[in-house]
Amino acid sequence: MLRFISRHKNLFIYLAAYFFAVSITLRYIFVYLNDDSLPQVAGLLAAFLLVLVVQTLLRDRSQLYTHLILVIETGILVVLALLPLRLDFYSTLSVTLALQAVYAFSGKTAFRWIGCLALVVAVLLLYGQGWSRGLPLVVSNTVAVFMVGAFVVLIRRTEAAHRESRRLLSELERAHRQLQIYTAQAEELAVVKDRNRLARDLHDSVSQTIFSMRLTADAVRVLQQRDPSQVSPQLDKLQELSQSALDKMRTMLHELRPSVVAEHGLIPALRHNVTLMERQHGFKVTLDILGTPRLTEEEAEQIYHVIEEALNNVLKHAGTDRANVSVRSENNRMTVKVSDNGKGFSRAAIDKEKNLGLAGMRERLESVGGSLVIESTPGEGTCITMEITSAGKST
Amino acid sequence: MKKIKVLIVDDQESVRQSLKTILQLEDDLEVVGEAKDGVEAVEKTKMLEPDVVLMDMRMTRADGLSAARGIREHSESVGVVMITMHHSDIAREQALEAGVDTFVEKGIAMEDLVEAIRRVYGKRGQDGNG
Repeated sequence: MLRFISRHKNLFIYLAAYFFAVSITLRYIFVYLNDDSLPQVAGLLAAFLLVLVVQTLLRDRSQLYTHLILVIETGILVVLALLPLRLDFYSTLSVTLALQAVYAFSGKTAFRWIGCLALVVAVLLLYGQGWSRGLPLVVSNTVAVFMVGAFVVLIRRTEAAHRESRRLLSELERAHRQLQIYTAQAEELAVVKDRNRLARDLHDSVSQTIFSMRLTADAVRVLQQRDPSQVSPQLDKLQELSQSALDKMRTMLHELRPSVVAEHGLIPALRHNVTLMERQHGFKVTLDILGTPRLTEEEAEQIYHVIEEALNNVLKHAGTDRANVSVRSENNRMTVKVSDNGKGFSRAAIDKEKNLGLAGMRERLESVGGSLVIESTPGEGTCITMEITSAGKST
Repeated sequence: MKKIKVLIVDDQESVRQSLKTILQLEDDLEVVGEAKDGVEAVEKTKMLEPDVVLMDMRMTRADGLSAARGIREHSESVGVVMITMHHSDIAREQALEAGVDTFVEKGIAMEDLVEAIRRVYGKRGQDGNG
């Protein structure tokens, strides 16, 4: 209901204003039906309604018109209050005026008008009805006009906030789309760069050497007939060139080979890394695996590098020769804890994540939708917890 | 008999050596010098005045195209044979505009390479004389 009112608030404000004005008009006419003053009263109320219609039509014009119209309407209200019968329900018209003010002006100006209206009506009620009867009416009228004003302002602000959040959401969606385009472009660029580098490397190393081999083989063929004594040095050269081509090819293939994670899977790659660390540094890592990880290749690759970085940190900074890696996998959710009982580090050091490469680890994980929590106490070791949810194939 | 003076330009020493070995087997060819990049190629062309420059297209410092332009600014009579791994139509047009006389692909038979040098020398010699 509130949403409906908010969407059609202008219509509701005017309907309410007209409703109050028309109902008061009818009531006056019924009261003055057999009175000589009926033409005067009807004229005043007709003028009030006419001015209200004029304001409806001029609502987008200068605010000066609205001030003028509100002054005229307030004047009519004063005249109605001073009629001989000294009725009190003219005060309800102040609600119409409050609605007009709050619709036409910003919050401050509208509430200044509402304050003035409440004051004028209070004076008229106290004058016309006396203290005992007038005071409760003053209170109820004042509360009514301020509540109406506050309600309309509230709706307007809610709607503005809603509009702003829709705008922000649309901007966010646009930024997200742009980011996706940039990411795709960056990936394409990386592929093109890689391909160009590969072509360049192939040209500058292997193909040049093979070209030399071809020329040398041609030379051998001619020398066999013309000067056989020169054949042997050319064959030595050919052997040298072919060895060089093989070496260059081997280096390139080494650079191009798939990563250990892509080739063997996350857990075997971890086991291999742990074995290497123990063999090379005497660093003992206990692997505790439960469940089978179901991650995409990219996720497995990133989490492998983060675990590797965390273990390197323990090796370099923790002052211990032991660490524990626990991997828990359930469906597509995986939790990894890398813990040690080393010297730990303080909160300040965690805040300076950069120094320990922790920010990079976090970024890697976040790039595949994972998260990372670091807990460390000086003297009591460190525990890094990584969590990732994925719907990937088993690696 | 007047020998055709050839300048070999390639950034890989092994390629320069192999080309030199091949060309020296021909009685009518004489390798007068070597250059390892385009800048050196222009300098040595001015200095050694070869009849034909046998040059790789891709080199690390100043490639074959810019070297061909530099050579052409200095001389109209010197022939330029460009060696490439493979060449596209665009590369061919650029090379012809730069003053290259002909292309040979890496992997070409020795006889064809030598024949290309002789042909370019003949053409440039006639143009130069004419």
